Amino acid sequence: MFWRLTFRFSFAALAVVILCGLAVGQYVDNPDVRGRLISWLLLAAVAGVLLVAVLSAGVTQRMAPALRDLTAAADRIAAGESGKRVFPDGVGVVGALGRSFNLMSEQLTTRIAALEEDRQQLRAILSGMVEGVVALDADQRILFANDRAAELLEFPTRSPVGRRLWEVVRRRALLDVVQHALKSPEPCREELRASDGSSRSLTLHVARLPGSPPRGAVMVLHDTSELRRLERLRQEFVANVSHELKTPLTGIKLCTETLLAGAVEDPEHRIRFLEQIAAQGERLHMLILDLLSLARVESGEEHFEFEAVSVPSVVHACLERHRAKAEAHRQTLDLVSEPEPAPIVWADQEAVGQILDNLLDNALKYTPEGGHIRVGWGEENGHGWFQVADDGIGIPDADLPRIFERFYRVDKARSRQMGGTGLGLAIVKHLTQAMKGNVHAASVVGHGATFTVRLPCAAA
Amino acid sequence: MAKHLQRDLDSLQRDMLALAGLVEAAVHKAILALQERDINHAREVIDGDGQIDNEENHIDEECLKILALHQPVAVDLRLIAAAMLINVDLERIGDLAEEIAERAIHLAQPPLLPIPRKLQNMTDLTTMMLRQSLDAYVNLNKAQAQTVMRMDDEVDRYNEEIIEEIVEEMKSSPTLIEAGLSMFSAVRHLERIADHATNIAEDVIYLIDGEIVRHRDNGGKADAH
Repeated sequence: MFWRLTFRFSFAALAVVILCGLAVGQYVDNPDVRGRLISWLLLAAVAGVLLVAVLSAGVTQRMAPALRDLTAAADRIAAGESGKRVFPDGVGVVGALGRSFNLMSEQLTTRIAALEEDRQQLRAILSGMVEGVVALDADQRILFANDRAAELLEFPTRSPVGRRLWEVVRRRALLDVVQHALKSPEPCREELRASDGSSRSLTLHVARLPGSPPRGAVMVLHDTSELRRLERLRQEFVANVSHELKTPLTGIKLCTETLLAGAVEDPEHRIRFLEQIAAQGERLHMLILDLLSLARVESGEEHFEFEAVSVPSVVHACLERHRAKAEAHRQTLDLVSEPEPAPIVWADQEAVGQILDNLLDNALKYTPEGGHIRVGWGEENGHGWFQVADDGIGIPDADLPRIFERFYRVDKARSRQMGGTGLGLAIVKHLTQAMKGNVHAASVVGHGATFTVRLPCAAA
Repeated sequence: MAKHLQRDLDSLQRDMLALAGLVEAAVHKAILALQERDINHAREVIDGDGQIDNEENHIDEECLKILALHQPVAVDLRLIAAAMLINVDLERIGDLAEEIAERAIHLAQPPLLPIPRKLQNMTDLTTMMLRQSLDAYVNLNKAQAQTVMRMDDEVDRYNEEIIEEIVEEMKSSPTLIEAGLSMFSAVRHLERIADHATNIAEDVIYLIDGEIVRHRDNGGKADAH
């Protein structure tokens, strides 16, 4: 800077001196005067150059550090550092420049901070959503995908951004919807079934972003697997109930028709038909009672009278009720627990009795003649538990998670022959849940099954 | 020129993966039909095979068109060659899924043959191989392709064990022989699907390295360096 200033102004000064020299050469004829004037001019030229040098040095001294500061600060801001300030100690132009630079730097910092905060907030909101969100550009390149979307669409890579949608998702139906949505002005909504290569049912909304040509699309995904599952359960339930009601009714109808057709005159056979009608009627009655009781528990209308219930006393009462039936099948009913400690649970006495009745009933049904059924109780972690274990046919692993469903039967032919309604365990589950407990089943095929019911202790 | 080639290659890859999606879904449904004795799914697979065949033809034409039009070299050429190879494998997998679906319809009729216990393991492994081989293609991931090639041995082992189980079942009850044969061929088809997935993995390695690892048998494993 110094040299540039010095050079420029020296050049100007020299130019003036040379012009003067030329004028002197032109208009002064006297050689003496001319020689003197020229030497004066030379002196003036040297003095001018020196003066320019001194002035330039002064100006440079004043401005250079401030300008260097400014340059360095601007560089840092450009490199991404924020809040850089310079010291506006310069006066005049340089000072003003420094001050406006500081103002700009300050505003830039606040704006960048605000933008960053907005961005973080949006990211947080999007990643906190239950729905999956994917933003695509016009070439179906992924611009953004939240974690939920990655989970729902099972991306094979951890960084889907920048990839084409078809590279990370191979569900054909979904790709077709996206392609269609990118072309149509209306948003598309489509349901994807679980069977197309994935375990999830998804509802898909794809909306094209405005602009022409369109800049891309936003896709929102809802997981509807649970909804579909519940719908299927409801359909199955209706089908099951109709089926269960139909079977005994068919029996009754057949018997009455036979009686009407003439069997009523036959004293030997009519008793058998009537007995059959009575048995089927009883079965219908049981089924409807179970359905009603299940409906009551499920709807939460069942009023429990919570009290401290001593598990051993309920167990004893229950065992007495089932003793006769067990002896008829030459099965042994054993109590395997010591009388102490006796768990006291906070529950409804009648409901606990019903749970135990249902469990014992099942155990008696699925244990062959001469089998053993063991009932025990205990207490741990603030919960009292009781357990019914048999050494019957057991339950295959694949069926274990489903046995508490209504009308679920491991072997359809067999259990109906045993006279069960298919609702016993469902009632057990709902009753225990309504009393804030839980029920657990464990089994080894061929070696029997164990059902354990836990209920909160009265003291806790 | 290069831009047009790139655009055509992009659209080829999209079509390939669209076909892969169809094939994967067909295999998934066929297996579901087999295991759950679900005739509806089986029918869907059989009806869907025509679409798979059409798309295979379309991709074949696209490949030839790109070859003729752009005369690509080096990696672009390998991309087309691999696409043609994988395309054939995908179509064959689609056919096998259809065959499995047909067997599944047979197997849903009484007398019911118990589903072999290890079938679930084998189907899980096969679908995983198919999925991973396609992922390896998308990501050009050599390590993943090699994993798929290693998994094939395990599928072969399951295949043998399940066939033994079916034979035992048929020996114990002659009424189950027809069903047993159906199950036998379904399991064989499943094993073939795993083989085609291995082929796809080998094509991926060819695509990455330009090295042909097919038919370079080292005790069932191809050695790819």
